[in-house]
Amino acid sequence: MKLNEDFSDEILNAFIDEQLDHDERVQILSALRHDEVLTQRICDLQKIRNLVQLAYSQKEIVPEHQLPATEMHQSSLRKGVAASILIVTGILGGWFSHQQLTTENNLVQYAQTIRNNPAISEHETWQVMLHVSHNEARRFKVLLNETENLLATYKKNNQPVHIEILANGKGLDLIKDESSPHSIKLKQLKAKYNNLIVSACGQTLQRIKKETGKSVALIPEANVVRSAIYQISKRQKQGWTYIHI
Amino acid sequence: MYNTRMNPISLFCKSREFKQQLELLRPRLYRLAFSWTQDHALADDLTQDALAKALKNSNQLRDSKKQDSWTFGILHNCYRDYFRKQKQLENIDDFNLIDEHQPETDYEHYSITEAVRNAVSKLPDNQRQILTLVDLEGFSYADVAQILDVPTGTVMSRLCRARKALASKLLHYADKTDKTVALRRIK
Repeated sequence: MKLNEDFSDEILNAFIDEQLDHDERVQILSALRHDEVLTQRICDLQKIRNLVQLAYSQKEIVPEHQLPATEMHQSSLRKGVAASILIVTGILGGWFSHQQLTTENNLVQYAQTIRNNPAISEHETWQVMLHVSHNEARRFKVLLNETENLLATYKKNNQPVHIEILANGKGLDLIKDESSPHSIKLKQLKAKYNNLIVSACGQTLQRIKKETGKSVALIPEANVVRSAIYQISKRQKQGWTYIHI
Repeated sequence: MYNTRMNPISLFCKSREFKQQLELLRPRLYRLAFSWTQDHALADDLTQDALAKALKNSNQLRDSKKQDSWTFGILHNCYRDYFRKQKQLENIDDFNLIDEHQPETDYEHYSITEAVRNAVSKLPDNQRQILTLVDLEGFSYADVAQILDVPTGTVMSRLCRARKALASKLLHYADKTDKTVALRRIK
């Protein structure tokens, strides 16, 4: 029969992690019946594993905004849109390569689809967050074009709408105060429509400052929010529709 | 000029099942990212980055049963890339970090949870990643080897060293805080 010293630490770790085959497990279990030292070694390893699991208990670690949408407030699923589409980053790249943008497919029609829902009051304000985290010019172009189109249409029809453009990561380029065509366009929109909010991710700003030692100059029209994730979560709870561009 | 149009509904045409599974992974990714970084903001960013990349590269996942380990592999890459950019990542597998806050000396000020997190944070990076993938996520050694792109033997040896390092700090600490448990020193 094998003794305590015959079992390496690696093997005992594999034992508690259930990584050994049947025969190897039997050998250790047989030895355990007569070997207190071996028992203690395994207990210690098990205890360490339990401590790590305790210290990183998901309930303690994971904030609410990182929980799956279904576990968050069901009310945020209002209009059947917001939470179920929490993560759509990256889709647009593939979409652009496969579909041509048409005038028939736009945010206004999307808004109309939602308004056709009899559960939604005709006079209720539609609130939509457009989130951008990449700095491709085409994304900015689509974002700004759709925002303008939606604001203009709703204004014309005398219907209430609130739009928040949220930028984080590389998407922050959209609202940097550096006289780019996009930032100029955004300033124009902001000046024309007071129901448009422009927000920047505070975490991204802090990180850039930490990495480069310089603060990012944003257009004066932009607000700084705590973090993109926090803001998205907050808006979803408030019933906003979330769309990632 | 801004003369293009998009259909937001068509943005959501990815496999629903894939996205739902990804959404369920979110808290697990976050917890692991936090255990690696001890930083909520950075864990937020890494989780979001990993989810975005997983969605973008979903066509690269050949076996849907492997979605979990595949996604955690992406998280690992995001983590590695972040520190590569920061130029802070070094191969310190055998490097002994000095922990100025020994749990046994200041345990009165720390809960056991904080003591464990503190000890985990002092582990070499590649040991910490393996430890958390096994202990928190329950991945097999083979899965961890695939996620981190290292041999299985390396997973075993690093995990062994990680637990040994934790034991040297935490078992002694635990012994002080729990007098009812008699622990025998083995080595």
